Amino acid sequence: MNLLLNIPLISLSHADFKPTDVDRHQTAADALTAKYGAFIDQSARLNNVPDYLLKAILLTENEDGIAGIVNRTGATGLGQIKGSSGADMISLANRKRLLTADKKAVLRKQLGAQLDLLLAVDNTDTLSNARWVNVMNPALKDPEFNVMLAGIFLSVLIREHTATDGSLRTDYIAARYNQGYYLLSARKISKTLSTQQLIAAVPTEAKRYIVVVCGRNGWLDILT
Amino acid sequence: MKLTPIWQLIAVLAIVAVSIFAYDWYYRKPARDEAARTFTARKVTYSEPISYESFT
Repeated sequence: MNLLLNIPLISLSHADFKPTDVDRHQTAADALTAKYGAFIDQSARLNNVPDYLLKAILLTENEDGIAGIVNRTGATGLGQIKGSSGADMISLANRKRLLTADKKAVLRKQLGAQLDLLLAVDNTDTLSNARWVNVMNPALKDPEFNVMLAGIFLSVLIREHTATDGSLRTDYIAARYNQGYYLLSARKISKTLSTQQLIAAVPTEAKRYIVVVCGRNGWLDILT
Repeated sequence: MKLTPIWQLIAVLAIVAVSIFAYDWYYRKPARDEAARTFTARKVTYSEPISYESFT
């Protein structure tokens, strides 16, 4: 199926993404590609997600492209993924039958035999325990692992936000990447809102995220 | 009709083979769908002036 992305998705722009900011952001995008392009290409290929969407998310999360960075909430690396969220995403992708052997091979470089133990966990509530967070956190500082996991997350979201006419709702994808997979169920948000309605329904951080990724002069606009 | 032992064996193997194929086809379908999708980015031009928001 061919999926259609309207770029920009909305006419709104973020105050940090004026036309005069485009060159600065393009420079950051070029630096990310120069440093981690091989890992981005690998993740985009194995998860079959557009490289520009993956880059847009990585740049929104970590414009400086610092692989070992950890923020105050524990979000780590290029994709700013928390240990508990990362473990849950691996388990979720496996249950959705999307964790192919090639993807597992990349994850196994950092997790080793822990990957098989993680995939065998029945009670997924326990994936937020310190036992798994302590396994995931060091792995998330590895750029190849982190970018692969970001691609896995995007692939899961792409499957869930493709309309019947083939259009892809990058606003929902951006909001859920930012707020977590369970955003819609936690806040009882339907999948059929307009972009403006979605912006009104999500927390402030996600509002900014949607506009930075999907708005005029935003990352997708710059990268395509 | 009574099948000879060799035909009974062939029938069992055929059923097993079809089951394995069906399970594999089902199990790998999400990954196949993932690999088969393609993407087209359509640039949109808005006529109205840009409005800015910082969401602070």
